[in-house]
Amino acid sequence: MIEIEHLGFSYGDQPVLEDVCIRVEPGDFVGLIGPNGGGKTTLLKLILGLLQPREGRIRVFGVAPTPGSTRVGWVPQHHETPEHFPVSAQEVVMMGLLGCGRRFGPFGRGERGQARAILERLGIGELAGRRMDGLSGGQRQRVLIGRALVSRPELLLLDEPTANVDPKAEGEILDLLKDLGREVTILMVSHDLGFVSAHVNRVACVNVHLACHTTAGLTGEVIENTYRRKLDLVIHDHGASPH
Amino acid sequence: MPTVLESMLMSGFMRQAALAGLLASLACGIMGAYVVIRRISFIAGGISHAVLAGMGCAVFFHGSPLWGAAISAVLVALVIGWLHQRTRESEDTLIASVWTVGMAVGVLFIYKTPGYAADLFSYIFGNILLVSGADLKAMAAFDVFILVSVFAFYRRFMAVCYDEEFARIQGVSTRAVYMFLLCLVALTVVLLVQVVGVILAMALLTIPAAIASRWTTSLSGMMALATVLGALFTLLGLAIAYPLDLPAGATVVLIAGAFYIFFALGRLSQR
Repeated sequence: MIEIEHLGFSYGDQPVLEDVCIRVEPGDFVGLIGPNGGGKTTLLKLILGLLQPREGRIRVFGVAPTPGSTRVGWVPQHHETPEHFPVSAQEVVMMGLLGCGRRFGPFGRGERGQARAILERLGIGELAGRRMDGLSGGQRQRVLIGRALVSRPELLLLDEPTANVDPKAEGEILDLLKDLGREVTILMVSHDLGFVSAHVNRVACVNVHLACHTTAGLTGEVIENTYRRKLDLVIHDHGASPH
Repeated sequence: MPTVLESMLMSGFMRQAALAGLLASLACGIMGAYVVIRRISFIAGGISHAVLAGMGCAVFFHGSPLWGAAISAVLVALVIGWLHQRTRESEDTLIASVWTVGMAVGVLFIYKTPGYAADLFSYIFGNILLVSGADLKAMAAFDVFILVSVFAFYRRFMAVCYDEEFARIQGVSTRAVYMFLLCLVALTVVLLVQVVGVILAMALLTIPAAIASRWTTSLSGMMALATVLGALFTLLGLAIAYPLDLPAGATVVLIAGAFYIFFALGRLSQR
């Protein structure tokens, strides 16, 4: 489903990803872990086609990714509804339908129905008409998951979907993802090692380089190594600064 | 008040003025919603002032100030939109530069054009009481153009205003859509500046939409409510200006401002 071979990417001179290889098969639930600035979000943006690789190649569903694929759903880390923006939960979900169906004109009855059905499935049907900026963090995140699912993608990419919600809502969202994982392939950035080791079938540790493990292979040593490389880099920087 | 309204509507030029206000309210209600949700009122302000360059240039070369303003507004919108995508950090400085440089160029041209200086005043405050039949037709035609464009691009404009990155992921050419939106805002501003002046144009573009944003759950609802509020402010302003012989543009702005402060204070006291 996703094939990445010897992928390299950098912002300017700063290498963000080097020699990354990973294959994601249909039905996988892959957790991406790693320190901040380790390149996790960059990797997702490369898979979405928002960024172009500097080296190596990426194939998603067999082709180089470009924006506009309805087979991929995207849930951002955190999206603040702009202040003064009157938009209902249902309308936000319908914005996930831009890539399919009619391109012009307002949303129609069919699209409202699709959005409604997704919200019902996520257990928040009663919020359909509520304003986005009046919802709690957890409710908003569910709506954003609905926006990603409404086009019926086969692959769902999530960037720390629970980073800005309270622990109770976090548990509910993770349960929801566990259910969804039976139907769609999921690649998710997470900071929650407990969830990752309990529910995900493969773990990719990203810190410039990428190491992939089955969940059983995820030992304390592996995790430490992933995070430590960053530490080495920092120490190295300090050593270099007196020049 | 009914008697004032009656006598107002009896007089031809007041009827024209009221009609101009209603047509302006429609354009402002629709485009103002985008200006408020996308937070580009500063860009709209920059465009509305920078068009003075185009107007000045046009009169200096004996052209039509309306066309001069329209061309310069679209140019300024494209430049600002392009800069917005290149250099995100210093966008407000760039807008302030375009704003002031545009006005300075306009002032130079107007200074060098004998007999036009008086019209500078109408650029600022407008002359809603002197609206011609041709102006009304132009405004009505432009209102139709806005309605058709916004209807066609409703979902795209909304998506680009709400979450530009997500729209791009879905294959929407967000840059082109944003540029088109800015151009529509620019043309709205130009037409309104000709008729109601730059101050009233900015007030009608931002204040009704800002109030409406609190009371609706959808963008289309916000547009409808902003249009109604704009029409209300305009008619009230005219009704006050007429018997007291005050400049109508100023009274409309003050009415709108008073409503805005009232609602803003109401919200503050709720917290």
